[in-house]
Amino acid sequence: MLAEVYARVGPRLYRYALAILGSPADAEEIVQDLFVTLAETDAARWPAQVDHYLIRSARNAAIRRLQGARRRLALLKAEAPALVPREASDPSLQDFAAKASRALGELPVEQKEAVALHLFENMSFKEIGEALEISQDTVASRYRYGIGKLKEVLADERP
Amino acid sequence: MSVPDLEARLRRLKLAEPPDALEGRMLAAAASMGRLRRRFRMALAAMAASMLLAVTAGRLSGAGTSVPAARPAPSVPSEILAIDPALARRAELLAWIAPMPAPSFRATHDALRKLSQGELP
Repeated sequence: MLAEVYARVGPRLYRYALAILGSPADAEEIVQDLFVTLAETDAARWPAQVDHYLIRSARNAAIRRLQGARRRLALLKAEAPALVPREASDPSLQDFAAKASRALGELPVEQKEAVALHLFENMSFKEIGEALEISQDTVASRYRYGIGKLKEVLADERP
Repeated sequence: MSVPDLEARLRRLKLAEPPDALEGRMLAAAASMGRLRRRFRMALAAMAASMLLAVTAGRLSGAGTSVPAARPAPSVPSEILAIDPALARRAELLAWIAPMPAPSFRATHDALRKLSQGELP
């Protein structure tokens, strides 16, 4: 059952944590810790909406990591771009991916996660709101602010 | 550039995927925790049975009195010693200090949990 949950939501949790932290190693650690913790609980006692619970838990864990001042400095120099071209064979996108990753990394967490979950994970504002237990209007507002800031930074970039 | 234009450009990108090894590592870690939990539950059950026998033997030897005349030391199952020797020694001490009339698995489990959390001397 744990493997089923991982197959369904594990990669999304990783990508989400990566969007927030910008660090593949930290994202891996968060996801692994979440699932080990889930494994310690009898499946009968898992939350009814376990996927949403995991998203919230990943968020909380990622934010805790961001709170260390030293960590913030390290994250400014991300180990690897969080964003990559969909078409790996298109090298022209590599540079744009790196710049977009940096721009995404500099957004506040709330805007970063709204952009990551809506634009890259194709979750609706309603789904995001349910997962994070906030109103979909709040999600939409955070997304608009986030996209607005990305537009300022990337306006002159050519993909 | 409009927001739809930017969104279209960004949709040519995606968030990086997790490494293939992550799922394997996660399942291995979860399996280890499961095995450890099962071993600990078995050890607790053995401990409870041992303590019950010890107290029962004490009662029979001191029939008619409220305090058992003799209480042989309960043996600590090797499984507990293997998991946490310090916890096992403290559990053994607890069995001498606070004998239970009819130690149940639940009572033993709770006592050991409190010991591990430092809630009991």
